[in-house]
Amino acid sequence: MKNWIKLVVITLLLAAVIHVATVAVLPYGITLHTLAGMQQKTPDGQMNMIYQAPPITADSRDVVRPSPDLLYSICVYKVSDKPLHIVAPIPADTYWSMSFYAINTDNFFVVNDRTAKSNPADILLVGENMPYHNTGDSEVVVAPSNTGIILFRILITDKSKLDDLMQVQEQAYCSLVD
Amino acid sequence: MESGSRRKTIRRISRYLLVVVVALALGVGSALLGVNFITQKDLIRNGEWYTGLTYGSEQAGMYTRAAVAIVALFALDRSEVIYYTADTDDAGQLLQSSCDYRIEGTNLDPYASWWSITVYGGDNFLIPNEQNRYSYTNKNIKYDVDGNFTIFLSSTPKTGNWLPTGNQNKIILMLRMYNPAPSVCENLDTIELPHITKEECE
Repeated sequence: MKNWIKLVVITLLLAAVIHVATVAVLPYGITLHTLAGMQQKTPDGQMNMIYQAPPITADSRDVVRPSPDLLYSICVYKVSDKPLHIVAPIPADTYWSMSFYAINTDNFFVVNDRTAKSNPADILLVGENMPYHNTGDSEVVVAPSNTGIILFRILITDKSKLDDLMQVQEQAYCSLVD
Repeated sequence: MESGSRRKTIRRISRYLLVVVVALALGVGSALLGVNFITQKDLIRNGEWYTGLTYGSEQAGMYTRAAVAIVALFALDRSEVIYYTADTDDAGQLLQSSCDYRIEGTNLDPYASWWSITVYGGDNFLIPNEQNRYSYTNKNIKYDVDGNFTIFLSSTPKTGNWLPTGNQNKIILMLRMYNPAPSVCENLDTIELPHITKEECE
């Protein structure tokens, strides 16, 4: 009888540990899985390169609940060794934003068409405690995790403007700097 | 004698295996239920719509982060966007393709620099349809003479603002408000939001 009580207690304790571990690991697991899929869409399947996603349709199934009214570009970053330089032109008369996410899903920085300090927007993303040299007028942003994602959003106000907006979208880039 | 001790060892191993399997089932199952329960508890409700205060935020707890990863990965902080979700009508019944609905609202322009209402299937992805129509925004919705709007949610064509719902057991609506006005952030549970009314079912 005592053995059964011991087994039940061990089962419950183990279940509690698995419960906490599952909740804690879930955001990292799902984000890493999604980032791996997105990274494969760049020409060489590399990080720190921008991917201009085509307009969203019912076939877009990389990320849940995509907005069909936005043009998305994606840069999966890794700033463990070098800073990342991001430059993105801001289109006129529409909503535009560049948002930075850590590996745990936190949206740690956003700049939009109203708050950008320059056009094109110019950001230097650095790892925590990383020495860096800001040669230009880039705004410096510190990433709380070495790996994460930057999402660029452009609102398609009118389908007739789609080609023009896609041209602006294509001019954005992200690349590691020394 | 030897076979008796082997039997004991096998019994012991089986017992520990059972402990691990049951603990896994309990741990993972309760984690998923817990994520759902705790995030539901922390939601702010406004009629049929609900929103989370900490989606995408650095203040989010581990249960909220897990929920965001499952249903709202790469959500923006609420200073940038307010996301309202609805999966029931004004009578509290789940939205589904076998029924037609009417979404009636006042002009939401005072609340945000731009807004949209998008329909998703139960899998959280857009519903395929011949029209490739998944949403309306304040840039393309047709208003009536009073400045209000009506969107018809239906699997069959409707005149006016029509969002096709295909063949889904569950429908999810998302209202996005970009660059929300400060008054929205302070009154998430009381601002005037569109109402979703069931019309008829198959």
